[in-house]
Amino acid sequence: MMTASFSDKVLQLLASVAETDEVFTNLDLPLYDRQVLDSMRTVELMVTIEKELGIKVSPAEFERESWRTPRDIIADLQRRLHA
Amino acid sequence: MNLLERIDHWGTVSPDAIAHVSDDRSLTYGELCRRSDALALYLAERFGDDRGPIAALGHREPEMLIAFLGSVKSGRPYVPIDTVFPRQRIDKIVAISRAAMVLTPQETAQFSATEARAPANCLQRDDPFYILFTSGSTGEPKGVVISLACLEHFIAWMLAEQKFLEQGEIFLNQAPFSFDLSVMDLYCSLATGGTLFSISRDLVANPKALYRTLGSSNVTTWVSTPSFAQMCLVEEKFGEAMLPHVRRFLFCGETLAPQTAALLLERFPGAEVWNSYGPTEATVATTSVRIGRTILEKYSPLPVGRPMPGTEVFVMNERGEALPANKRGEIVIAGPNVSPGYLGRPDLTAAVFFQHGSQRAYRTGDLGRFHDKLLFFEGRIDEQIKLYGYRIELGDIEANLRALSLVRDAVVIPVIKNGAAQSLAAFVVLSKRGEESDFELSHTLRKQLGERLPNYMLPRKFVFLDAFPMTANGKADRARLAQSL
Repeated sequence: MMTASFSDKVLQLLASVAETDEVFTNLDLPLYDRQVLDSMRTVELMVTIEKELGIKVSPAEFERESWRTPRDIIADLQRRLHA
Repeated sequence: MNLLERIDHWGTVSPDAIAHVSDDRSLTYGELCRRSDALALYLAERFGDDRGPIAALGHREPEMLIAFLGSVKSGRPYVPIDTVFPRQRIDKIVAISRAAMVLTPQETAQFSATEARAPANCLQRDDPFYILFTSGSTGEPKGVVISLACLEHFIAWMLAEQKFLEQGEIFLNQAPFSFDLSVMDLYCSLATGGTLFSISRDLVANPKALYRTLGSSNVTTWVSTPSFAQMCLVEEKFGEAMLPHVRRFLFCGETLAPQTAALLLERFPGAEVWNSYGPTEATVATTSVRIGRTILEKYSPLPVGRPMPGTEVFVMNERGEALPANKRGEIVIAGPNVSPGYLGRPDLTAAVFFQHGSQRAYRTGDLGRFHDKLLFFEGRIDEQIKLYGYRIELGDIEANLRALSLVRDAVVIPVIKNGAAQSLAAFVVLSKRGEESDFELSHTLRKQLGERLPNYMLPRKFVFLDAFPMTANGKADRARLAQSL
């Protein structure tokens, strides 16, 4: 089960990097299709997540499909947290 | 030997050496030289005395190199256009350049190697070699003309300074061919019989594949924007073990942060890091400096370097008087690397180019100062910005936004983080407001603007206002808008 505070924190970080609040209201927003995220933003988000949440995501092992939507990002980070 | 004869020389002595690798395709020097000959002969026959430019429209395909060399071997300049540009922008560039022909990779592929050779000396030194389009402040892209003499001067300097191994280098090509940073890797590579290793946009979008490709590239000379290297550095494995052959990192196109240089020196103890500076109008780069430990410890921000030999760089005040060291002013470049001007725009040319003694000179619009005989870049006089190395006139985006039916007025402002532009924000006064949310509306505007401008010029953030705050003299108050971000 993901805790509300954890997903809120992830969404806050995503919103600050992506510069849009839309991610709070639409968890199924297709981030790359709607150009909310691009390559530069993705690595920026990785750096922010490591700094704020202590979860390390390696760009060399990253595929966009795993971060397709805000919901996907939360689930992926949740998995990494408990891995 | 002129530059083209030099390149052809590799086709003769090492026809099987690899000139270009892109995705899973490669091109040998033999193919490059003989197929560009075939293209040149075709162009000469078809267009005769009409030496109008040839537009080369594509991405990183090996045919792009054939199209470039085929054009210049026939005595015609080429206009490189990347397919990431939207159709409207491409059409505008083709129209402004009055290109005699638009060559796509598919069309260029039809020219196979022939026995007949095209002369490599058809182009005279003062003839235009390429025409590169950059953002113009009124919404019309402008074409910077670079002559064979300009390019040869630049390449001769690079070769003398970097001492590239003949037939021993693999150059990373990260910048699209429509961005003049690519001229650095492309022609340094072709002149020395090296291999150009291109990174396509699909790879940049897929980090996993990108690192795998970099790891198998055997790159010896890394040429990219600092932003790209910074992005790569986020991966901890990006270092000597992944790229064991890298001997130098060459940067141009935007500010190199001391942290980026320091991290590279740490991860690649065997490699040199070079910073350089120069506008497209003075052929890629005009100043350079090796960033070692001493410079890193001494300066922050980093210097952009010393002028290339034979070219004078100075700083002047608003009255056009040269300023002494440590004084800040506009950077002026005078020398054989300075462009003849903007294609078909004597008005724009006269505004920024002038004669300085026996040399052609260009007022860059960049602010800077000399300190310890090193040039330091300190921003822009006008509203031109650099975003991920791309040169953008904010007025260009504003003019294109205003052309949309939903928009009455628009002001575009860079979002600055750690001293560098990170993204663009558009403040928009709508002509009519419907039911859509701000997000939906932003998406619609970004999509419509995306039909007119390349992706890197699209604002990330849209702010909708009823009216702009005004300055005392009735202009939109950019400073106040920037503060509100």
